[in-house]
This record gives sequence, structure tokens and C-alpha cells, in this order.
Amino acid sequence: MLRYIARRIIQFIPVFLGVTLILFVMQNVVPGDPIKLIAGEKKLDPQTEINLRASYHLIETDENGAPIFDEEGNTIETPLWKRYISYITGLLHGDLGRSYQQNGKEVTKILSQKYPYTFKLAVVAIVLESIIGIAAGMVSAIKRYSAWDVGVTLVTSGLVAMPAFWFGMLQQLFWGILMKQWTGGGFYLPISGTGGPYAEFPSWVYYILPALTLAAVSTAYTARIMRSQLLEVLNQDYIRTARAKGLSRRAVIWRHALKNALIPVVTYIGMDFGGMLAGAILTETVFNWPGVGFETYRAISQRDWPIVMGSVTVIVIVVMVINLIVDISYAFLDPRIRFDGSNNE
Amino acid sequence: MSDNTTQPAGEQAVEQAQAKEFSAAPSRTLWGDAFQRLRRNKLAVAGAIWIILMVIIAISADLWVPQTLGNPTQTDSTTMASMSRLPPSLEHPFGTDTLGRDVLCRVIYGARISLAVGVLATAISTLIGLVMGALAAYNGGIWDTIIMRFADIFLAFPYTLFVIAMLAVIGPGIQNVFIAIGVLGWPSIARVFRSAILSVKENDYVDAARAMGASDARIIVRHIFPNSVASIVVYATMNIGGAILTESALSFLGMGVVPPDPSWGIMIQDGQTYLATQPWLMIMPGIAILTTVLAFTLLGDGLRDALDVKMKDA
Amino acid sequence: MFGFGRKKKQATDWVDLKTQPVPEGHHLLEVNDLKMYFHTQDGVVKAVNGVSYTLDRGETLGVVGESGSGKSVTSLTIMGLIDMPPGKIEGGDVLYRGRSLVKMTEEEMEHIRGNDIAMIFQDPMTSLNPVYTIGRQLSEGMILHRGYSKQQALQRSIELLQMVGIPNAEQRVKDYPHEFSGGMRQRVMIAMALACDPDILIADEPTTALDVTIQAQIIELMQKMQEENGNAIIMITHDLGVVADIADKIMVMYAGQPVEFGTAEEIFYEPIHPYTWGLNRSIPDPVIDEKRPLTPIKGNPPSLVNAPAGCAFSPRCPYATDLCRTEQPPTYVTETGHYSRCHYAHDASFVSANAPETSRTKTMLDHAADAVAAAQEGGEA
Repeated sequence: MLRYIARRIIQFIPVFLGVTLILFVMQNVVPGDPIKLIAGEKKLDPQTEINLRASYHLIETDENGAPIFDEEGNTIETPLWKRYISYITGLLHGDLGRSYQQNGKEVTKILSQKYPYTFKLAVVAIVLESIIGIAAGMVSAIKRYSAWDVGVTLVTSGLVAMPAFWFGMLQQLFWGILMKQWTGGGFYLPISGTGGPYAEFPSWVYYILPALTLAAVSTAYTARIMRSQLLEVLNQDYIRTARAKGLSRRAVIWRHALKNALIPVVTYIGMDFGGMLAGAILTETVFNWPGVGFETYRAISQRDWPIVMGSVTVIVIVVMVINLIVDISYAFLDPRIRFDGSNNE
Repeated sequence: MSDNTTQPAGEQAVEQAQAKEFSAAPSRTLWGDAFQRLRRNKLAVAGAIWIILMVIIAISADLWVPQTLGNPTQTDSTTMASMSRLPPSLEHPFGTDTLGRDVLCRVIYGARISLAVGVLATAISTLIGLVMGALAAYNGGIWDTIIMRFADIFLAFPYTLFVIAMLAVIGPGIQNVFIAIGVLGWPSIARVFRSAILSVKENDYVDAARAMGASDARIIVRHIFPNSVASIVVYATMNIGGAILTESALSFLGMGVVPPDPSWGIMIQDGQTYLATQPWLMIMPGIAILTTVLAFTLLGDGLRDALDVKMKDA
Repeated sequence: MFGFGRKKKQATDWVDLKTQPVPEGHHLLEVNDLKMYFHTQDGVVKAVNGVSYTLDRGETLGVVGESGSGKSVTSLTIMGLIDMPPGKIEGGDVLYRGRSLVKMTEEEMEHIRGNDIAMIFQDPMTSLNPVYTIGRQLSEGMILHRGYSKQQALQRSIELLQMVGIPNAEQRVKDYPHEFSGGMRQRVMIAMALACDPDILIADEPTTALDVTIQAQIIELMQKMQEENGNAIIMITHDLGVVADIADKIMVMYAGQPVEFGTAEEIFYEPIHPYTWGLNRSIPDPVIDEKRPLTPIKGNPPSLVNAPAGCAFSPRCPYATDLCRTEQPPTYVTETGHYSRCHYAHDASFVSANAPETSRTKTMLDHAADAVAAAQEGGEA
């Protein structure tokens, strides 16, 4: 078991380095001088510009952070590989650099303000997804070819084929406008334009529609995976064995089929949670949700690269850690993996 | 039937003789059978018909749309104010947008962009994926490790985020959308193709062919490719729908197709402002996305069921 | 069928059928003209078409046939494990201690399964649930049918494992199926089937998926358990050789029909159906002259949807006549109950002219006589 975990963690390292390298290269091939992005329309005097460059580690500095000049009195540009190393070192110390805007606020600080919103939204969404998806898929498999099964198949096909942001807008339209009488007009909708990026959402009801939107596609997939897995498991020989023992159909489903069928479903849901923590850019944009996804989107459109880099880095790490946890819990669920891992057979 | 897994010894000779007959024309039988099964799948047929219809409309648009519905991009400034955001009517079945352009007309031209992005991006990622997958699976060893690690790195990114970041770097525009979706989509195709090759390679008949002295090239062409092409076709079909969805999301965020080109995603974004008063502005292009992606999904599902070798025994 | 967590009510008034005597004029198990058809898109598949036999305690019935001959479907029908639809019982009956299993409700059948009639399956690698320990899977039936506590059931599971010859049973009971070898798993399956001391053990190709060396051990184990418990065995196999030494009666099935039924002796020494001859000829026999050619039966089993108009075996039968191809053969029954579905089964000269020489032996004496006969035949050839 320990060896299995260790192996997974070792596999994680090259992927992590590769990912950060790609991000770093992306940032540094972007056309445009960061200082111009920072300054915007303003004209900077040369000394301020040099200080800025030094503070963003774009030029070589001495131990005190003062810029180093060459013989001709020019600053020395820090080579890319040095910047990558200092970026990685910073990363390991929890330092993600500073924003080009927002008065050079630290990226870590910005993200730590945004993450609670994304996290809470993801939790609500994953709960909805698990309950609705698993239940729908189970009933669908057990009552195969029934009206319910056909309905679930149609609805899931539709949800999968729908852009999530459009689905979110349809919900705003339905609950906020068509059902105005019932919802009281000012329904707890973070409708775009009304909340604004720094709106507070004190009540849980604000989470319903964004969470439904965020969960829609994955719920459809969960239901489909659950259905097909359960159907496949119910065809297995050991189900016949259990029936031959005299167990009722219901007991067979609950005691024998469910655990086997749930293993891949749990894996999917776990991975999906990672995806949701990645910040649902589209959902958060449609609902003006003040989470990481929306922040990333804003940063990209304003070319605030340290924020983009920082949030993508954090997101990728979160996703990879979640996947690692899912892999490990998979081993706990399935005894076959558990033993393969420890005995290395 | 329930006891089909084993064969009496005496029967095997006959089976083998028949298998020989069978393998004389494997492709015709496989694809012929698959076509028959596909034809019986009403949902898949509906999907295929819808796709064909969309393609015909999109290709022929220049011949009849401007004459009847007007220009999809340009607007006449003299009539703009009076034509702005008209509700659906006989003259404008889907209504008009803020600039007085016919929404149906823009939806039809949007289909061109969506289908083009779907097919081209899928073609790019399939091609890269096939080459990478084949290199990894057939050569194995260090090639396999490097390529698959590389794929892992790509797959570690949340896909949408990755495409957005890429477009932020290379800038918006339709060609860049092709490139971003196409280039970043290869790892999943490579994985599918790699495992398809590996599972075929495991088969006894490939061992048999090798034992009989068949060359690698012959094994790939005669045995591995025909047996993995089914999974590629299914995967690519479904991938087109996914690419169309990604394109609409990118355009919605303003990082994809550049206005005034009519992309469905841009139209939805334009319509968002008028959600309360003129909802058709976002509903119509959304339905266009939904039906098109659904058609590709249904066709893909149908193809998977029709081509799946496992299904053949049932 | 489907309820959330509702605990199943145990019918307390249920009396185990196996504790009651077999009613006068009945056998332990009687299968009468059983017909199980599947209604599929391609048409009606007549998977079991008129199967009849009887079985008593302590007896072993061998059911022999090729893939798709309906031998497995017959026993799954008896167990009530065929999904209906697509399956449908089109006629016939199954009587267990005089009670019709076909007419029983699903709940009543749940009392029968595992308790009165138990079953083991072909592939021990896939017949055990991978995510539960062996002990848990063994206990399940005993908790259900005997009302054992978990502790009692576990204790009994260990005994059962020892009985079927699994070493270190106290430890092994906590292991998962994948930690056992194929042969060991089939032993576990046998232990599981015998856990509630059933009247009838149905074994569906129990040795097919196993190594040859293990096969004999498993058969031997089943025989030993039968001697101790006195249960009846239905042994389903495609290999006439497997049942040769253990079956009292043999039913040969072809295309959903029993084509010949008789005692093991009759099937081996006096077979009266050409299909049985074919099966006999295709058994490799170490005793008889090595030069004797093995003769496979040519062709494939017929489609069960569009069965041939006449005798189902006629397309592959070397002796088929126009009569065979146009008319279904009647059942020809001898005085001993040995029956055959062949137009020419009553024709002694036809039978003696075409039936194969056989070397299968019950006693050393027969063995010797056969060896001599075989040697002579070999010499003549």
C-alpha cells in the first residue's frame, strides 16, 4: 500500500515539472513587455521602470534587491532558465509572485480570497451530482427500457450536448424571469450584472443555480456511467452466483452489484471534483461568481500574467493532488488493486 | 447463449475451417454488418440526417441565404434602428439582433464555423494522436514512456483552461481556435489508439501472424489498423461534438471567433444582455449548438454500438 | 424488486422442502417435457425444447451436449434464474419433491435456491465477487437460509473450507477471491454450494476452465461430498469423458432437445442415436489402440431459430435419409427407460452396423475384453 502511494507520488513529479514549464514558457512567449502592461497608459520615469523590473525579477539584482548594471550602465536581463528556477523556488515556498495590476498585490493573497467561493460552489455541485447522478443511473439500470430509463437517457444526452453557460442562462431566464411571480422577482440569483465580481453571497440559496449549472454535465455523465456499470456488473457471473444462493434481486443489487458498480463512478466523481476546483470559468462568468475561474478569466483578458500563472499552477496542483487521492482511495475500494500494489505482483 | 464460452474439442477443426473462410473478407463483413446495425438505430439515423442537413445548408448558404435573409455580418446603418431586435416573425423566423441582422441567417453562417472547427480541429488532433499513439504502442519502451508522460502532462491541465490559456498566448481568431483545440486534443486520441493497438497486439492472431513470419508493416496494415479503426471512427465522431462545444465556449468568452463573424458562442454572449427582454437572441443559437452536438453524440453512440466487436456476440 | 433499504421480511412459516418426504409416486426431481423459449428480435429461440428426466437422492445425472445445445439453460430454468422476458416457459413442468418449481413465486424460489438446490458455475475466476472476502460470501447463504449469526456462519465457513480441502482455512477465510488459484476457487464454490446441505447440486461445466490435473481433483471432491451428504448431482458438460466415471444416468442434448437418455452403461455400451455415436468417437481414449482415428462430428449445431424441418441432427448425420430431413423423429423408448429421438433407433441391425466399438470400462474384466477386441480391430485395419 505504502509503496503504491510512493510510486504514485514519484510519478507526479515529472508531470508537475512539465506542467509548470509549459506554463512558464507560455507566459514568457506572450508578446508584450510586462512593464507596459503594469504601467498601462501612464508614462514611467526610467528609475521607476528599473525598480519595477527588479522587483518582478526581470533583471539581475544583488542581494539587497538593487539592480546590477553592466559596463555601459544598462541593466542585465535575467535569462529565462534563471527565472524559471526562481519561479519554482518561489512556488515551493508558497510564493506565486505579484499581480501586474491591483497595485502589485500578491497572487497568493488574491487567490486565497477567491478560493473559498470556488470551493463551496464545487462542494455543493459535487453533492448534487453524486445524489442525482447515482440515483438516476441506478434506477435507469434496474428498470432498463422503462419510461424512466428512456427519460434519463434523453435528458443526459441533452445535458451533455449543451454548452454549460447556455444552460445557466436558461435557468436564469426560467427562474428569474418566467417564474418571477413564484420566486418573488428578486430570487436568489446571482444574475450577471447584478452581483458584480465582489458581491457577497451570504445565503446558501445563492448556490443553487450556479451549482446546478456547474453540476449539469457531470451529473449526466455520472448517471450514464452508473447505468452502464450497474448493467455490466449485473451481467457478471458472481451476480448469478449470488442469485443461486437464494438472495433476492434487491439484495443482490444492494449487497453485490452496488459496490462493484460504484468503484468507477466514485473515481469519476473524484476526478470531477478536481475539475470543479479548477474553477468553472464558464459557470462563474455567467453567474459573476467571485471564484478562481472568474478571476482567471479576468486576468487572461487583462493580461495579468502572474495571476493567470499562479491560478493555473494552483489549479493544476489541486487537480493532480485530487487525482492522486482518488487513485489511492480506489485502492482501498478494490481489494485487487490493493494487493497488486503491495505485493507488486 | 449461456454456454458459448467453450468448445468441444471435436468442433474446433470445423470452427477453424470456418474462421479461415471468414477472414477472407473481414472488412466487408465488419462494415457491412455495422452499417446494417446502424440503420436499425433510429437515434443514430436521426443524428446522421441532421448532420447531413446541416452540412448541405452550410455549404449552400451563399447561394440562397443573402438573397432571402440578408447579410450575416454587414448591416445597413439607415435601417439599423428600426430593424433592431425584432421578435420572430414570418420575415425573420428567429427575429433580428441588435444591429438589425437576421438571427436565422447568422445561425446558418455560424454552422459553417462550428462544423469547420469541429471537423478540422478533430482532424488535427486525430492525426497527431494517431502518430503519437502508434509510435508509443508499436515501439514501446522508451518511446512509449516519453510520449505517454508527455500526454500525462497535457492531460493534467483542465482542458478548457488549457485551451483558454493557449488562446490568450496566441491571440483569438478562427485559425487559432483550430490550432488550440486541435493541438491540445491529441493526448486522449493517442491514448485510445495506443490501447487499441496494444489490445490488438495481445491477440493470438497477431502472435500467429508473427510466428508465420509476417512483417511489422504487414501486421499493422492487415491486422492492427482494421481492428482499431473502429474505435478511431467512433472517437473522432464524438470528438467533433466536443470541439464544437469548446469553440462556442471560447467565442462566448471572447477568445474565439472575432466579431462580426457569426459564431454561435458570440451570438449567445450578445444575447445575454437582452435575456430578460429578447430571450430568443440567446435561445436560437443555443438550440443550434445543442442539436448539432447531440446529432454527433447520437451518431457516435450508434457507431460505437454498431462497430463494437464485443457487441457482435450478443 | 427495488426498495430503499427496506429489510426483507423472512417468511417464518416456510418449511424447508428438503426436510419433507418425497410424496408417493414422485421422484426427488422430475422434469417433464420442459420448454424454455427466448423471444428475441431475430425470432423465437427454442433453447430448451421438450426435456424430460427424473433424479433421486444420491444419483448423478450427466447432461452432455455441445455449446448452445440448451444444457445450461435447462438447469438455469430449474433454478428460476432465466430472465423472463426474454425467456418464457412454453410448456412442461419441473417437480421438486412433488412441488412445481415453475409455478412457485419468486419469493418461494428464493427459499429453494441455495437451500434445496444449489449450483456451481463454469468459471471460478469470475463467479466470486471480487470485492468481498471468501468468508463473507460463504456465510451469506447460511445467514439467509439457516438464520445463523455472522459468527456462527463464519465458524461454519471455516469448517466447510477444511472439508473441501483448503489448507489453513482459519486464515484463508479472510482472503479475497483473487488470492486463490482457479482450482482453489472452484473448491470454494463447492463449499459455498454445499453450505446449506442441499438436495441437489447442479454443476455447470465445473472443470472446463481448470487445468487437467485439477479437473480430476474437483470431480473427486464432488463425489466425496456426495457420498457424505447423499445429495443428487446434475453434472453439465460438453465432454462425455468427464461424466463417464461418475454419472448414473446420462442425457445427451442436441439443439435444445434430449436426443438420447439412459443409464451411463447404456449410453456408453448401447447408444442408439447417431449423435451419441459421434460423441463417443470423438473422445480420445488412452486404452484403445492409438491408431484409432478420432472422428469429429462434421458441421455446426443448427440455428435454434430456424430449426431444420425434420430431425435437428439430420444436416450433420451421416445416415440421414429423406424421412429424417422431413419429419421430426418420435421418441423411441426401450423397456429400461432408455430413450432416443431417432427414426431408426428401433432398428437393431442399423444400430449394430453403425454404432462405434467402445472401450469404456466399468470393470477390469470389461476392460480386458475390450482391449482384446480393440487389438483385434487394430490388427484387421
